[in-house]
Amino acid sequence: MRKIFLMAGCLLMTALAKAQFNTITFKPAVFTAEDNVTFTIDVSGSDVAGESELYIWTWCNKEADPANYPGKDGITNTDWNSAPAIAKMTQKTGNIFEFSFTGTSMYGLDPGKLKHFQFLIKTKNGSKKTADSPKFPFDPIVFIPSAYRVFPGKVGVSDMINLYFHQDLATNSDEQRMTPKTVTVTLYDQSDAVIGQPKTWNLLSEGNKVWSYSFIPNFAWTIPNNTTVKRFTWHFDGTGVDANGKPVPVTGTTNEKTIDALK
Amino acid sequence: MQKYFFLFIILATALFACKPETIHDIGQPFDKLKSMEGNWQLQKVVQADLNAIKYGFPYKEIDITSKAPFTEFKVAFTLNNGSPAAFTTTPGGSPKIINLPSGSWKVDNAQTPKLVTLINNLDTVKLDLATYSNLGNGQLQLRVTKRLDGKDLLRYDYYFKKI
Repeated sequence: MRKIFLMAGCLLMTALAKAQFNTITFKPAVFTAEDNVTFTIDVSGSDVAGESELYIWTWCNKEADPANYPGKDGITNTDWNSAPAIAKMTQKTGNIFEFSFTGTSMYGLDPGKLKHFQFLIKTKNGSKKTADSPKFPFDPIVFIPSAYRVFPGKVGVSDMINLYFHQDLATNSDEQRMTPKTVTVTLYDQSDAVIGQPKTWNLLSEGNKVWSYSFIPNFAWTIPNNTTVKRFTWHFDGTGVDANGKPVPVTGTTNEKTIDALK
Repeated sequence: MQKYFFLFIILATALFACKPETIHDIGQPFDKLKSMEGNWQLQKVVQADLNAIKYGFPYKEIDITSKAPFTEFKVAFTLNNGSPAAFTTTPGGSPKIINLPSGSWKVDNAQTPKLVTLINNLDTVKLDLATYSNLGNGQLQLRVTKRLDGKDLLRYDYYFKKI
């Protein structure tokens, strides 16, 4: 019983620690590593709430493929115990702070080498700090081939979304061998609840081991009023054969994409 | 003497080669609005990823006409004394590429329209007149650019044919 309480406590603390990152807004909302971006965050409820001087500590590409996206600290990370002036955030009001930067300048990497970044907010001497932020992506500036390609790169709820399965780029042996048949798409709302029912469609062969399907979220689904479509997931499925040559179903990797409020 | 003779021949040729030219009237300017008046049916839809174009990605745009029953979509424009008056859309089974059933329309410049605004009460849809070429031949190309936080990200080119 105590274990359950401990686990629940840990989960609650983690959720609270991450909560302030729900308040973050980026301007522009979409940015490449070459764009100057300003983010605003409300640190209420975090360990640094109530402080008037706050500093950023940031890094990029954590857990990304190091060959393509080397991990690196921002130029703000000089001394944990004495943050430099360039790391200082601007206090807008109370617990709301703002910081501006450009990815390439902050991390000293070419734009094609920057995938995502994270940060935490701290006091100058590092005695108080927030949890690590989630990973925030840079809009790609170079094309990265992928088995699961989506065209276009940014989509809204009324846009044609084209899903492609490039089987020759699959890294999963089951997906490499399967005969692709269908794609199953699930839509999620702002509360992460599934909208309607997942839909399964037959794939179209584009030739050269490429399969595709295209759909428009608000055309394929009836979106209830006051519902915002926030993301969708999809997986390509097909058939393979087992060791005895018997056909078996193969379920592909589930992928996810954000649906933006394009206007 | 021979020199003067040649000079005389050259001058005579030049003088007799000249003749009064009739400069024809260039006529009335091509009336783009008049050409837009009428009923149009969607023939082709091209979707472009502006980020992919900007950064030279291999996949920049695709023809999505066959991905949905787009070709059922119709739009009609009327004029009143040569000025934009009313529009009506008839989607049929097509996605509603213009999400307004009817209303009024206006352009930014009557002689050289670039921006077409469709208005239905408080709702508006803005489209660009992508080109004038072939407008007089019953082909209309309207363009919609979609943005996020002021950044152009997506472009749709809608090719209509007069019916």
